[in-house]
Amino acid sequence: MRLRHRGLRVSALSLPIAVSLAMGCASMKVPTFEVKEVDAYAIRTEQDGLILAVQPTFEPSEIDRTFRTNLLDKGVLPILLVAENHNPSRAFILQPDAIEIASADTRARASEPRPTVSSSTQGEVMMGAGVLISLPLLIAGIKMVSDSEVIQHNLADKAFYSTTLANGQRARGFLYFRVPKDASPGSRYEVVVDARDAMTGEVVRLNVPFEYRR
Amino acid sequence: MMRRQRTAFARRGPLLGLASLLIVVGLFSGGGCTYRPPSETFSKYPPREKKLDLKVALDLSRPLSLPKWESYMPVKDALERNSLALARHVFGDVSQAAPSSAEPAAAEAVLSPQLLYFVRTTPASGPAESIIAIKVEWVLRRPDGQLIWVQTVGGESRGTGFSDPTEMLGAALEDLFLRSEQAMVETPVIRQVVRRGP
Repeated sequence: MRLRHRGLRVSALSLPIAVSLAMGCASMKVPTFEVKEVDAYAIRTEQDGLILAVQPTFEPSEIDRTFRTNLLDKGVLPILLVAENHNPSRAFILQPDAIEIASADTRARASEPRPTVSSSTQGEVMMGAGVLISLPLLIAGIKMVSDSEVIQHNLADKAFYSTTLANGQRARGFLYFRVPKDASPGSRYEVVVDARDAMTGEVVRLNVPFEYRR
Repeated sequence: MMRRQRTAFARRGPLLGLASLLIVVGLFSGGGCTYRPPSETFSKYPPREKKLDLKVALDLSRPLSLPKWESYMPVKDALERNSLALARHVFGDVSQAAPSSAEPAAAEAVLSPQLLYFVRTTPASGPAESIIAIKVEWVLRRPDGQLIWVQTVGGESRGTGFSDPTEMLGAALEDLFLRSEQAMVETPVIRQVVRRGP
C-alpha cells in the first residue's frame, strides 16, 4: 500500500519536473566582448606599419565577465591580441602557429584555440548517472552540460584565428597561455608574432613584452 | 473497479516518470540521431560584377570533418560541395585538385579549406538557446606553396531545443559560405594577385 502511494507520488513529481525541464532553465548566454582600437591598449609595438597590442587579463572579475569561468585558477592566462595594419602597400598573414609566448628562461607554446578547461565529458557522465541516482542531479546535469558547452564555445569563439590584414584592417582574439608552474609576480614574458608578408613571403617578427602580475 | 485502476497506475507510475525523463533527456541530447545538412548546394550569393580572373585549383585534402561530430552532424560532404560551388562563384577558372596527385600545372593558385571548429551547444531546456557554430580556415597559396591569403571565417545559427537541428545546420552553413564569399571577394590581397599575376 505504501509502495503504491510512493509510486503515485513519484509519478506526480516527475511529470512537473519534466515540464519544468522543458520550460524552465535558460541556457547561459555567450558574453559579448568589446574590442577597442589598437592605440587604446598600453602594451603595443609596431613594425613596418603592423601594430600589435596585447592585454593580459589578470582581474578575476573581468575574466569571469568575459569567459564565465576563472581561467587563471586553471592555470591559463587569457591574453587579448589586437593587430592592425597601417602599411599602405603590404598585407600581413597572422597565424596562431606562428605565435609564441617567450620568457627569459623558457619558451612555451602560447596558442591553444580550444582549451579544455571545462570538460563536457564529465558533465555527460554525470548526466547519465543522474537519471538513475536522483532527479535534482539530473536537472543540474543538463544545466551543467549546457553551461559547460557554452563556456567552451565562448573560449573557442574568442580565440585568435588565422587572418590576413590588408591596409586598414584589424583582427583580434585571445591567446590562452598555460602559465608555467614556476611563474611568479614580476616574471617577464613576451608575445612573439611572426607575421608573413602576403606578397613576398618575408617574415616580420614582432615582440610584445608583458609582466606576469599574479 | 476504481481501486483496480488506481493500483495499475500506481504500479506504472515510477516507470512512466522515468520514461518521461528519459524522453526529455533524449530530446536535449539529440537522442543518437544523425542530422544531415541540406542536400542542396547553397547558391544565394550576392551578384558580383565580375569573377576574379585567377586559375584556381581547389584542394580538399585538409580535414573537413571533426570525429566528435561526424556521426551526429556530418558536414564533410556539404563543406566539399559548397567549397567547390563557392570557388566557382568567386574565381573565373576552377579545377579540383586530385587528392593524391600533384596540383594541376595550369593552376595559378591553390585554394584549400579546413574545418577548424564545429559545435552545437545543448540547450538547458526546450525553449532555451542552442547554437551551431562552424569555423573554416581558407588558405590560398601559390602552386609552389607560398601563402597568398589565409582567413578563418565563422558561420553561426541560433535556435532553441525545439528548433529543427537540420534547419539550424543549414542556416549555419549558409552564414559560413556567405561570409567566406564576402571575405574572398572583398580582400584587396587576392585582387592584388589577380592584377599583378601570380
